[in-house]
Amino acid sequence: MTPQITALRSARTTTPKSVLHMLQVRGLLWHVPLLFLSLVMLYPFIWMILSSFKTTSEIVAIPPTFFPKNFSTSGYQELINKLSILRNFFNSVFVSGIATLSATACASLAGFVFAHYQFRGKNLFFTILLTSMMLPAAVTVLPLHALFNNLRLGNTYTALILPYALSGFSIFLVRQFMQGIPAEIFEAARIDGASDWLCYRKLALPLTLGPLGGVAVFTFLTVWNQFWWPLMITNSADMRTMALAVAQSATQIAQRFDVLAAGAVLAIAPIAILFGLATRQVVEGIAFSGMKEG
Amino acid sequence: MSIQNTISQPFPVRSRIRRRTFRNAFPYIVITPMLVWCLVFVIYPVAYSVWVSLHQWIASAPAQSPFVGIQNYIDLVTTDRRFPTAFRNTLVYTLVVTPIVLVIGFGIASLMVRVSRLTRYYMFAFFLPSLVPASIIGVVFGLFYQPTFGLANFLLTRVGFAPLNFMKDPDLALWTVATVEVWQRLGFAVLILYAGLLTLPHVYTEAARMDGANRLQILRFITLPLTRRVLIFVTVVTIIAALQAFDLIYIMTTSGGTGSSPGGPGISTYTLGLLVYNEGLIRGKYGPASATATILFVIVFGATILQLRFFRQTWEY
Repeated sequence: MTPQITALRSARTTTPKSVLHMLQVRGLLWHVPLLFLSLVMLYPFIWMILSSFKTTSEIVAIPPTFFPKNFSTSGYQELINKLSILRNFFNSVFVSGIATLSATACASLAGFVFAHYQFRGKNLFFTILLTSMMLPAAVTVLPLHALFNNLRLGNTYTALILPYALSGFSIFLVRQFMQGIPAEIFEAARIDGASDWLCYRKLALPLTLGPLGGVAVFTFLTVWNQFWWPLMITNSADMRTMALAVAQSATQIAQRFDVLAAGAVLAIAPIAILFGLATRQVVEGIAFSGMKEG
Repeated sequence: MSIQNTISQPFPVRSRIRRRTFRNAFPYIVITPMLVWCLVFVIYPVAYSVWVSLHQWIASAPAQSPFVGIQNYIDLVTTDRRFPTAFRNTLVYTLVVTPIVLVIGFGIASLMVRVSRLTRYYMFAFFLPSLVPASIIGVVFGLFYQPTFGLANFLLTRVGFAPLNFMKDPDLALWTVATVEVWQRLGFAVLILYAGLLTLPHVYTEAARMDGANRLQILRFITLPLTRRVLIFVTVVTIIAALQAFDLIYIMTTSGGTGSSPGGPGISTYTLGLLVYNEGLIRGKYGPASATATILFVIVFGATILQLRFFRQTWEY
């Protein structure tokens, strides 16, 4: 760039008025489509929350109303009275919680080992883990259904949790963070007499705690959303998870749309709150994976 | 290490404690329990699926099931009326959903890198649908697309179009679900592509602009090749998910007021995933169900490997 052009550019961009003007116009310009699209994405949620406070007759009214005319909690009352929705809610929290603890602990250890150790069968095992990520639920549900029923573990928490107690995706993600830690740190610790466990516990784990939180939240949300497996392995209402119970109430009480909307709100609220609180961690945890590996 | 690797990974991130390789028990202690889990939850289901698909399976007495070779597969292709529909639907659904998700996702991500405020809100808004159970989404959109009082028809008639039957129209039902699938998958694409575009070095685009490249040329020759890895990742993940389409379709075809039977109306929204569910669980025909599941796995696995190869060959820079 010639000095002349540099001078021209800097002269143009440093004029305070024009900078301000440009930022305002440009920023607004990009925000308009983004705001519109983000509202399109959120609209079904907003509509559902508002609908959950309407009566069924108002939900099916033509023309549709946006805000509830007569504020009604009949949907929520019906849910809590007729369906074991609180039990379903607990089931979801319990199953997702235990599975997340297990999957995250395993991912953290396995990620460390995959990133910083050489061992026999490493590549084969990693391939199996990657395969598990693209294994269709359609393939696993039938055999696992047969297995768990033969072991008389059908309709139990064990059956709901075990398939999610380890996650290839989480291991894959954590391995990426762990590879970012220079090996010299561990070599130095080792010279000072630290054991493998201490290297993990005092160095690798604390250094990856941030992204690990994101992975944990993501795992929790994934397990919370499971539909296929809980649908197959549970056969009583008190063992169903939220995602399943709400969907089933949709087919059972077809004409009570207020109950449907209320159930949907109850199933989504914890997810939205958790994600709202940990947006950055989850986003960083996941985005990182796409960046590093194609 | 090739030049390409050197460029994309300027710092050697892979590090190993080679000194103690094989003499150290630690990795084996960590890995062994996980290997056992993998045997039960990955290897066993695949092997079992293939094994069952080769038998005329009797669920109550598996040992007495007659071995029929590939008869289940032959029956699926030649006599089963739903399999061809399910197969075609699965492929078409994936081929429609994936490009739409990629293009819109890339568009939104490019807009997001240009703003500095509200990014956290945008991340929340775009990614929330991906985190909500498909079963709940199915219920919500079931109401949305309900033909008589649903909001979709209200909006359509408002702008002067004729109301549609959505989930009750055999020609439209699958595409109605596809709109919801796009809405749900979009967030993941936006997120990953946004992260990819954020880390894009500005020097290349600046240099191209100096040399007089227009926006389209910059997109084609700079931005797209440089975000190649991220694009591949999003494509692969979206395709894997779309090929397995099941729960959205299941809920939207059965839930209150909108649908008929799973895969309905008729067999118009059958996918391979739904066929496995219907054959295996509803009708107890484990042989054909397992054969379908195996075919689905081969398709998903094959598609993933093909894409990785395809993308590796083109767009080298």
